[in-house]
Amino acid sequence: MSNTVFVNILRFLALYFLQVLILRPASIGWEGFFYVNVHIYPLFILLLPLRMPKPAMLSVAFVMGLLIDMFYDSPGIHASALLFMAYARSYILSYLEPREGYNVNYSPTKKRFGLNWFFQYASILLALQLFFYHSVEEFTFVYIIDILLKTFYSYILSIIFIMMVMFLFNPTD
Amino acid sequence: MGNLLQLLLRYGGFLLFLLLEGICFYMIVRYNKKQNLIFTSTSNIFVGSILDQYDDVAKFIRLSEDVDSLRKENARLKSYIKTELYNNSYRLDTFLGDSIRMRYAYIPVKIINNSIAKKDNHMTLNKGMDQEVQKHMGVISDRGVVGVVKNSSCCFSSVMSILHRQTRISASIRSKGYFGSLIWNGEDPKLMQLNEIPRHAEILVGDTVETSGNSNLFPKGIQIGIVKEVKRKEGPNSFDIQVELSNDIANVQYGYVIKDLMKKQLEEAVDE
Repeated sequence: MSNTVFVNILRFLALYFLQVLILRPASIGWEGFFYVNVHIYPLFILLLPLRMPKPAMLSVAFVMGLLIDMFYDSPGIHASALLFMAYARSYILSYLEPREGYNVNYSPTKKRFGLNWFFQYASILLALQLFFYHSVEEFTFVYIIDILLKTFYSYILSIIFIMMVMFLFNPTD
Repeated sequence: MGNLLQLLLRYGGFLLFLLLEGICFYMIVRYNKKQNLIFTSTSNIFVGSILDQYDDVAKFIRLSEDVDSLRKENARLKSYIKTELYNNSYRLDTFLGDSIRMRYAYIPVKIINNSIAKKDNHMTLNKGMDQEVQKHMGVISDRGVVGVVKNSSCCFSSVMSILHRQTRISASIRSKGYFGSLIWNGEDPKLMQLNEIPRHAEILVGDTVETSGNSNLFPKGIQIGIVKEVKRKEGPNSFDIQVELSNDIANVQYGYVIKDLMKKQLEEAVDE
């Protein structure tokens, strides 16, 4: 139990600083290539334990989003998208539920449920998060083409990064 | 209370989600320049259109009030028209504030009952003695003469329409000065007959017929109609003149009762 909490705190810090210290300057530095915006931090919400109650998960997502926003100088935008993803997580989980059901002590990782399952899980939620993020970022559906393009490009890069992290560390919980 | 707790337990996640998203959106709109601009301009458009529609409805509701106040204003302005003032000056070059006095006052009224189908038609007005509408006052509308008050109670009055076989209105031909008396033969509600025009007068089709100002019922110069047909004939009535009325008695709704402020003075002078 305490081990899981500790692992998650560590993961939170690692992903948070990876996002704000390395990926943020990188996406800003690529002049003229505005569509790219790599999001690695949703991985933290993806890997939270299955037994975690919904209100706790929402609160964690809210806090993390705000902390990310502090660095991106965009109060509320990342937070709202991450919150949306955290809320959608339980529905996506029940949609992808295996025939034998979940073991509530597990976390939804590649090692526990297999590459195929995890890829589906991660890609659906990441797409939702990125689409929400870019919609709020534009704040109007007049530029729906822009929103979709941005979502698409950052989705490709983000999913590559997330899968890379999963292959590198391959956590159990 | 127990129900509320159950509700919170069941939908707690959703409610918390809504609450936190609400906070997020508040921050987005409050602290992000671009989102703030989009939000304010969009809400301005939205609020603007709502207010516009509300204003339309409110205008419609206020309409009758507005009509009322405009008509009062009209009545006030009408009494200031120069030709309807009594000139008090005894020297032509006098120009003092009290050299002219108001001669006619106008009382705005609504015609609440009307008929044109009978030989002797009457109307009812929504004003009476309390508003100083009295017997023997002329009634006009914005387009011409309507009738003469026959009787009035506290709050209503009855009007003898000009479409009445006993109507005698002193009328003259504009800019020619010949006057006669206007009657109605009880047939066409658009046509009246002008009698007692002298034999030597030259009357043309299209001449304007107006009130002569010889009686104190109507001030001089209110248009009544246009000469439609002129026939010469033998007998005391040398002309058979048909006058087409400029106002349509069939659809007249609003009018003004004319109060002669110098009626008493005039009658005193005439009686002696």
